[in-house]
Amino acid sequence: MEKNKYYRGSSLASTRKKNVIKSKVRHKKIIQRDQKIEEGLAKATKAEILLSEQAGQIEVEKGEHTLQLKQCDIVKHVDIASATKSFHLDLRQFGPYKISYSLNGRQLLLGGHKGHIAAFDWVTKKLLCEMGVQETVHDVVWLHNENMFAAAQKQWTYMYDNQGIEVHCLKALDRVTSLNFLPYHFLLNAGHESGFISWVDVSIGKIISQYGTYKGSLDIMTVNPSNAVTHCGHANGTVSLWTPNSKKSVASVLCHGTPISAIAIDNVGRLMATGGRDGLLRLWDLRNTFAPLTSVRVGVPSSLNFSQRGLLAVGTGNQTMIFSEVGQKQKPYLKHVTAGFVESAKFCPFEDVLGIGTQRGFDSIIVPGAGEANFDALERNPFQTKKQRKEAEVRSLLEKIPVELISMDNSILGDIDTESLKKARDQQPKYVKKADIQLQHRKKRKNAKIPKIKEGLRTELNLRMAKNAKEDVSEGEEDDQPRRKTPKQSQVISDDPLARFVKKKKK
Amino acid sequence: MKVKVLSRNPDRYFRETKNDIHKVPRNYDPALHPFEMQREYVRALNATKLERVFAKPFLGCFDGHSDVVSCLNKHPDQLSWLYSGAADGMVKQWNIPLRKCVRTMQAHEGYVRGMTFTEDSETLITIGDDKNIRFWSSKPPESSSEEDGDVLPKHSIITKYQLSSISHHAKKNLFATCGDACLLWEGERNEPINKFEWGADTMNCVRFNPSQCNVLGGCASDRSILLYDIRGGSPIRKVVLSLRSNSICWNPMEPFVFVAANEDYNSYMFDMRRLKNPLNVFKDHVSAVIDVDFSPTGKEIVTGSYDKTIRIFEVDKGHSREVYHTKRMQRLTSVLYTMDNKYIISGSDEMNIRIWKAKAWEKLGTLKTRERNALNYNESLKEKFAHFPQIKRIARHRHVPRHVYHAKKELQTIRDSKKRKEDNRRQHTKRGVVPHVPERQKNVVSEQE
Repeated sequence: MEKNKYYRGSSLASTRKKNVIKSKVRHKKIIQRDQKIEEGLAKATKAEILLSEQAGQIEVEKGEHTLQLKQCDIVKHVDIASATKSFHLDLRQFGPYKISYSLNGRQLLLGGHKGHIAAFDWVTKKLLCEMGVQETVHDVVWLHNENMFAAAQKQWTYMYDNQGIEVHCLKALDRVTSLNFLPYHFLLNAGHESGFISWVDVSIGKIISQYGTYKGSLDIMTVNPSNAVTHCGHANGTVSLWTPNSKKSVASVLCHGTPISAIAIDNVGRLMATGGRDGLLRLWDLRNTFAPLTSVRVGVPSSLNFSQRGLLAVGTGNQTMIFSEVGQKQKPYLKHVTAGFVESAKFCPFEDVLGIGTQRGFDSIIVPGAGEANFDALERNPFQTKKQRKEAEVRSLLEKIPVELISMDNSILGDIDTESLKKARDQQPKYVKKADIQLQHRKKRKNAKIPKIKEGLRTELNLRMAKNAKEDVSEGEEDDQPRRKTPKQSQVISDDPLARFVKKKKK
Repeated sequence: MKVKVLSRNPDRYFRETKNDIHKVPRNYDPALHPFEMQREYVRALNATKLERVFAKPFLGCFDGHSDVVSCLNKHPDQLSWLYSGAADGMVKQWNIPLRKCVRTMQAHEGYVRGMTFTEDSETLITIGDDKNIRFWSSKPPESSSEEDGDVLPKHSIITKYQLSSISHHAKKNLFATCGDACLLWEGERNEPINKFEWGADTMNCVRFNPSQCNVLGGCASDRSILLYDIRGGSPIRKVVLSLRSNSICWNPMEPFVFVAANEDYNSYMFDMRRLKNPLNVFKDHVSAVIDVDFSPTGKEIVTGSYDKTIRIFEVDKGHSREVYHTKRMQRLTSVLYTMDNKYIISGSDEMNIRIWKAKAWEKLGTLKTRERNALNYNESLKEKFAHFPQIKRIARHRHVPRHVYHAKKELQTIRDSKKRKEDNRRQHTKRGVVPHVPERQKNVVSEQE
């Protein structure tokens, strides 16, 4: 079977020996099911010819590089409708601006730090609402549709409707510095100035959980869109991973020797990009190893964001770099210089557009190839009618995923729950003949290479966790770091705590 | 230099006129559909909950008999015709969709013991405690004057035998009755043409195999189930169970399979060729199983029991998937699966005939395509996530009458204690003295040929 993006693993009947499935009927049924899956795979692949749009791109002549292109050059080469997508809003009074695009990419929300909140349809430039809240606005985020948004203000977090009318005041979310919304769980995730992290179910208006990270203010926070785990960047250079289901962080990765300045996670949850005050941009493999992939010196990134098709926007100072082909060979793709310092840069979903909120306003720039060309109208629809929106809202509320299902490993729901099976088996009275079931995992594939890094990192994480439990975290960690290094490694790059990984990898 | 930017023409995404349907472009890329498993799980959970919300199986009752409904029969060709016999000798014909009695006949004096149809399904044959065999037209009367009980039989045979059950050959003009002995009759002749005997016991049920039509199965009061071949005129095989069987029913799709309703609260499914090993044992009733019927697909059986409940079993599972009961329904005397596989009809001690849905949550009537697709999708989700504890719990939960609940508990205690005792004995005796007997073979005493 061809392994394309629709492929979800090998079939049961093909991987196992025939005699493992004991009953003939069962074996036949499994084979029938596998055939159905294969058919579905073929149909999904075949249905690709129905996709009508093609993703954007830039073709340059020999000797030229896309990096040389300015916005004005790009605008000259595109149609009139697309040209209007590149614009600049001069808003000097209330910056710096945080921005948020609605989930279908049609509406834009601006939150000026000095109290200016504005929501508008950025394609038609039609204003939905604009107001001055007369206190600091730390972060703004659209909720499940473009009817409501939340703003983290000086004291409390408020929810407004698209007319700008205050709908709720969430006093439980006080002194919030960053907001994220999980659309499939209907959770509003907030990081507090006090270092607390909290999740509010916006469909019932209840706090789901609230935990202390005890690592200082949480203004660098992002959510993994593939498994809804929150990644928080801390001043001690670690990124800790949080779910509403555990009081302690589910993992913590030491990413930089200096405070973290920005984090971004790509759409499928494969890569994490972190920026540190050390001026480095690092990429991490999130799938199972948390292995560092690359490290580039770009200046201190104030904002990072992945586009739907995997471009990475890095806002440093007053310029925004866009990288294509992130991974082992990271390539700069475009560059844009703004008037003020970049506060938040975010790609617009389903459009080739990057929005940059700066100290002096907002810039919308065209980045060909950033957005997903073909949307799924039953998931997110930029051309949604009012009725469709209502329908989708009801449907998504019915399908709200329970908080308990948030975990690091997304496939855990599909796995066999060996633990409770074991428990049930142990509880059976001794006169019951015990079923002969092997509860151990199958042997790992021979080819699967687990990088040695993992081992090192694991011990690293364990040590860190043990230490976290014992003592206050905020101090001491940075001091401890060099002591653990062997002198040989520290010779290579003295300020790089991850140098030993590189060394081991070479072996 | 060439630049290609995403620029969608809105005309291609909006419908042209108000009368069009909305355009819904799809993209099946998994990256656009995060939390696949979780969302499906939630959908499956919702579907399961909805199933239980919509589970309203009771459709209605046919009221009219003034004594215990002793037997029920469905017309082989007509979906809407149902025949019922009562303990006062009354036979009624019902129109199922109208829920109306269309004909009443005073067929016998005393119990009506059984009914069957001739191979052309024109004639209904009834037997009763008055030792008569009577032949009736199976059609409802054209004029309404005949409704009042003065319908006369086409023919009647006065016999000297006790008659307890009757079954007609599927192709020939032959029928079998049982009582003191198993008798074979031909057409409207006054004397039986053959007599089958194996031991001297009375039989309480006899059934012709609908597809292997010369094979005759019956159960006798000596706890045995007998098989005859009418061509040979001799019994083929016999199996003795630990308790008596009340009724048997042949699988309409697999000619060699039949199921027997037993006094020991279980039903047993047998392969006619190997009676020693029952194919399956259906457990769940807490009192004797009185009647059993196969669904026309041969995938499910319905049983009616002395514990006042009806249960539906899938043939490849050991426990029931559904239990039906009402406060007023008393001991079941007969159950039927209708020929469209959709309804179950039950006759019980308190003179009522009831009609139930075979799938309790099914929506009746025609479905729109979208509705049907949604239901099919929900069905497959339920199947996919059936083993998740939360979903399993909701799907399995049934309210049962108090006496059933307590009886079930008690039976479980008895079963556990027996098992414990057996295990203790096994541990303290020589190996092999107390063998492991499979659950299916426990109640089979012997097979004779």
